Amino acid sequence: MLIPCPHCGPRDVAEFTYGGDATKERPNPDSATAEDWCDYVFHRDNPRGRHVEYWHHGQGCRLWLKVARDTVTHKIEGAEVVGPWAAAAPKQGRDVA
Amino acid sequence: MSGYRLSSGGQIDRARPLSFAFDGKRYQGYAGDTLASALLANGVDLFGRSFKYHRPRGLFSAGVEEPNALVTLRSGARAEPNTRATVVELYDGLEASSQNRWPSLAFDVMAMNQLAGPLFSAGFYYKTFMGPTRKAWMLYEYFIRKAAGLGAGTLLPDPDRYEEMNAFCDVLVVGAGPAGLMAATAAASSGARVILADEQSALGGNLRGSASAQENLAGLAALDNVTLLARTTVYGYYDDNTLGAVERVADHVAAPAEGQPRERHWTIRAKQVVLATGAIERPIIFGDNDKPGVMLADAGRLYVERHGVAPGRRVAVFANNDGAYRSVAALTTAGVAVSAIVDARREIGAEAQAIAAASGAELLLGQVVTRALGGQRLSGIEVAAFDPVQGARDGAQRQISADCLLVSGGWTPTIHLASQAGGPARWDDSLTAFLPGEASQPWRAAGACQGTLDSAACFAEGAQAGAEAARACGLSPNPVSLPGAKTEPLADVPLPVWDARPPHGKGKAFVDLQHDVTASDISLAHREGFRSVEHLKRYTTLGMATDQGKTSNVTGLALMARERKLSIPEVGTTRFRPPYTPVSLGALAGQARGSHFRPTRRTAMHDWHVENGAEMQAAGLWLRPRIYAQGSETVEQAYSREARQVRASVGMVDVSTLGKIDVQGLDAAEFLNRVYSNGFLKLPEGKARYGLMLREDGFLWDDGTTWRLSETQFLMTTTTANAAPVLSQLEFLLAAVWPELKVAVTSVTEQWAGMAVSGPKSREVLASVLDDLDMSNEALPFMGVRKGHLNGLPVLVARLSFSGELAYEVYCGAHHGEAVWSRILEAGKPFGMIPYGVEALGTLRIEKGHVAGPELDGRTTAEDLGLAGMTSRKKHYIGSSMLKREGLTDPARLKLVGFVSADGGKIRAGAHLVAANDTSSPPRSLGHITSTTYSPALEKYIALGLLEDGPERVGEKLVATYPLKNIDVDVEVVSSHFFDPEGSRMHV
Amino acid sequence: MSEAISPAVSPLRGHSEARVPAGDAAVTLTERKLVSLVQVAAWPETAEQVEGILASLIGCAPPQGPAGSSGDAGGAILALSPGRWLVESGDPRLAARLGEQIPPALGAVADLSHARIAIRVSGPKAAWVLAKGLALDLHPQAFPPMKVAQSAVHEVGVVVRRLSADKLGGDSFDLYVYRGFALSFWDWLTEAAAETGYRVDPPGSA
Repeated sequence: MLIPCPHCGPRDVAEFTYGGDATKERPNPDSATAEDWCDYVFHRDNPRGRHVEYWHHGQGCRLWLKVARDTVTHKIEGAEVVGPWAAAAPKQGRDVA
Repeated sequence: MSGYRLSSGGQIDRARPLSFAFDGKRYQGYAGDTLASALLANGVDLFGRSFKYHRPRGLFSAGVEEPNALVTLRSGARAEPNTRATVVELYDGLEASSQNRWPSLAFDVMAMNQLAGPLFSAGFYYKTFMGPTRKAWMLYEYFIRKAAGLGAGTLLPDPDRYEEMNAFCDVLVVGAGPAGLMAATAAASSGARVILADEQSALGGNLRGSASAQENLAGLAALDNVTLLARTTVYGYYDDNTLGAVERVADHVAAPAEGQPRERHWTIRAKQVVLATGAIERPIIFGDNDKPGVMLADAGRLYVERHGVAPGRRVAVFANNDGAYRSVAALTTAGVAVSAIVDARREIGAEAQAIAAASGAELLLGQVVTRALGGQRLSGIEVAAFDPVQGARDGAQRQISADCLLVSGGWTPTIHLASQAGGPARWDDSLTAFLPGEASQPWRAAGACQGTLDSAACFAEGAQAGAEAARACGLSPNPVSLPGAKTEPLADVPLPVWDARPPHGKGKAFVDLQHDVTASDISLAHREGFRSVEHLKRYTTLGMATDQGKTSNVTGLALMARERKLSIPEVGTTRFRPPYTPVSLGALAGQARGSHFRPTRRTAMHDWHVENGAEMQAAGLWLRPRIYAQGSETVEQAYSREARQVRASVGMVDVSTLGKIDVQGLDAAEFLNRVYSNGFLKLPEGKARYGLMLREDGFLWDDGTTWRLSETQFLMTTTTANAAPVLSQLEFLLAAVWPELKVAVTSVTEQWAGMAVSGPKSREVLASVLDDLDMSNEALPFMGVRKGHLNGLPVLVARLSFSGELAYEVYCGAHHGEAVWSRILEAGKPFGMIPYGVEALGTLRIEKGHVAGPELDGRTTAEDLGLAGMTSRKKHYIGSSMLKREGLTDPARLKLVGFVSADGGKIRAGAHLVAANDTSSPPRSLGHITSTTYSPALEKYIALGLLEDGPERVGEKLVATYPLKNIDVDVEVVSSHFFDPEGSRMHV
Repeated sequence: MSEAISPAVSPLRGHSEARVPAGDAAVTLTERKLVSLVQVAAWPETAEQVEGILASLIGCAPPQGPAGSSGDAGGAILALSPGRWLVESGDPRLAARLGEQIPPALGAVADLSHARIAIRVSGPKAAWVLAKGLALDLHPQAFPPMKVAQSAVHEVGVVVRRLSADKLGGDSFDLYVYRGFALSFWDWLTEAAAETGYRVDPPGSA
């Protein structure tokens, strides 16, 4: 499987580390309930089809990416950089969010 | 003795004779021979014994599909079992031996297995060894495996090298026959980067050796944008148009040349793929169809045309299509006698008739071969009339003498790769064959693999596929001229005949020759209810041998369809999986073996450690000194001496492997304060602090000291094991959780060599070597960090202690590590300073009750380890919210305490703690031991462990039990601070 | 501290010394002398400013495009990721100078001079040998001179930079490798180069 890193270009999946479901947002600790935390830390869907997930290009540019991947075909719809540098590297494929 | 060498012809070099041995007997062949063709030329027709019944077997094919002629190639460490003699290229001095026979190939004791035929029928293993008789398997497995099997591998290490190669191209063309050659030519004309790979020893496929192919290949070879790979099997088609291939670089010679790999694994990433993988001929089933001398028709042609070898002296042909007539023509041209042509069709075309007439053979139309005759080899055939609806008729069989029978049941397109990267195969009723399904990746098929058997049409299709592939890459191909484009008059459309046996035919009729699966096994599977094609395959093992049923799958499906009274596509087919042909494990491992299996990480002082007697041990990828044994010291004696000397005077240990992360930025302190469970905002410059990191779920994750080098710069240390995960987590937090923080994190693990100088004399030693640092307690207090110089080299000195002694960590640029290490040891000489290893490091920390990896096992909380005071209540940090969960605050959780051996016995890590008077079996576990050591300071075996109500049990006697080894040690529960609990020694 | 008494020890000591093979050598390996290697990180709004500071300090243009580089043996800037550069220079005070010019408000400076070693791989078969371990398209169209890639060879992270073709028209690459893995990587490299034959030029000669 190749992941289209917005900075490095398409690279073999072996250069990346899976970072889990990217639709989960860390709760605000000032207001979050125990249920919110439980959901963030433990609850994961296991969708058949489109899945938005984090991948870390640890053996490359070390950027964290959000990748939209089909869990059946492994086809990647799009990839983008997460964080302050999101705008600095071109989004790959279709919008992830 | 049926085969022989023709006096002329073939693509062999008669001026280059080669000597070789099979089963110890010497033979001669020529350059250009395969092992199979050379043995056939020498009249050898017995190549092996079959898998279950040990029946004699000969050559069945001339290619990768060979089910019978499996031999062990070479001997000793280079012995390779189960190679197909049909693809082994002959070289001078080649040695091969037959397999699965005992004591000899000609006389095999196990051949009596066939007398017990019903015993080994489909499902034999399930029926015999499942259920109440399962235990019998244990008893008989050895004998059954010995009786039924393939060749034996060698246990010696492979002396040869294997390599990997990464390749990228616009167009990969798999198969270099007529279609593939044209596809590569057309694609290359656009300037596309083209790779053309073929499994055979030379490119060209059916055109091999022809003038037009030679010219075409020479033209391609001259292009910079084309890579030609002969002897390269593309075996697997993976995601994102990535294909796996194995190039047999030096498999066709006795041993690779210096530096040369034996095989090279190619990972090919192609934008577009053209599959021109050809087709494999299939047989027709009849009684005793496995007799040596029975061979696929096209194989007979190849032995004549390619190798100049006649497959027999009296050849009969059995066909249901025109393809076999090409073989007849080739044999006639070479002067090989064809005695009879048996064709199931009642009518054949004019061209076929002309070929038959020219051969002088008797032409028997509307008839089939019902049985092969002979003992260890073919001596004749039985022929009977055939009706397309009723099949062969019983009785009135005629016998014809023959020493070779060439059989053609039509062609099976080689759709393995297409199937791996596409939808279900499509059934073609006129070809009675499965064709490639819909592509799920960017490939297109051309030529025989999609049912086009005519050469002229293959040329055209190949050229078109190559041009389309180039266009799909955004390139413009030029038109290519097609060689010798005349349509062949022979039609390959077969009459569907699968099983030519009459209703009461004699002899075993084999479908899968390699796995000894017969037509009656398939009937039996059907009677027993195994009707799905997937069940049929598993129950009978049809198509599951090393040849993956290349010559048997479709026939097997046809027979099942007959049983179920369905059409073949209704029965369905199984999906092919990689590899297309067997791949050696060496090729898959590549260079990743021996010292390259995993890379090794060495500290700057590595050479010094080794030169000074250190016994090195792995810590992840790192190598660390375990002990520096003197004389005949045991490990325990060595680390005890080292630890004793640290407490008595001074020692030094290499701590370079700790993870080191540079944390910089305006928000660096705020960031650390959110990452660590204890406070970091108020850490002053020039000070270090021990910090705890939790996971989001509240459990402990990592610990280490972090040093504030300036207002905005920190040097974080992590455990050796978590260096990489901690950095990734920090990067994640800065990207996904707190993108507003201005912080940059960088691994500087490799930048700094680190050494811990510990012991009451450490201050004196360092004071004597540091150029510019005041080492007094006032100038460099506990947890103080200073920048200084040692012999002019910049160093960082931090006053930290994990041993309970006065101690410092000295960090310097890694290239200076060895110089600084040596200089400090030299300065320590007057004090008897010693280097110590990680064993003594562990001893010293356990004596102080400091936790490490064995206690931070992912199941413990800060409170469990007595570190509750380090979890701030005044702030949020990673893990703080989940830390309050009931399960993590339960007072019944196991707590850290110390143990001393009460009976002098050595306590084992992992031992369970049980009450001394607990007689239940097994006794109830109250906790377990995590870290153990002999304590030279206490002169006792001591341990850390996790215990129910731990602190309340101090003073109690328990048993540390290790039932696996039957070891029980009486222990006393004590405080985990074994040594100098007041900490007076390190605050001097 | 003068060069002559430098106590710096390469992790390739005893391995990367000059070696001339008896037979063919289609690849030349040279351990380069790294004087200063510094990583600079900027914040999104200071990236352009920091890049300008680097370019003027090194005396070359800023790297063109993502994963580009600029400069030569005297000093080079390699773009690692948005707002992150690896700067190499023969100036032993590079880290200090960068620290002075790039205060925390602009970015962060981390000295990596001891953290990496640099190996030059050149010659007609340089790309062939590297392709045995690098899953990168090294074709000059896909990876032209001055392009930079971060990848891994057998789990060892490497930064690869293609230089302009060498005097003989052969390929030339600079590899930056983690110090601790240096010997392991060198062993891999020399094994991979055994097929085509290789020569080792004296350390520091490239």
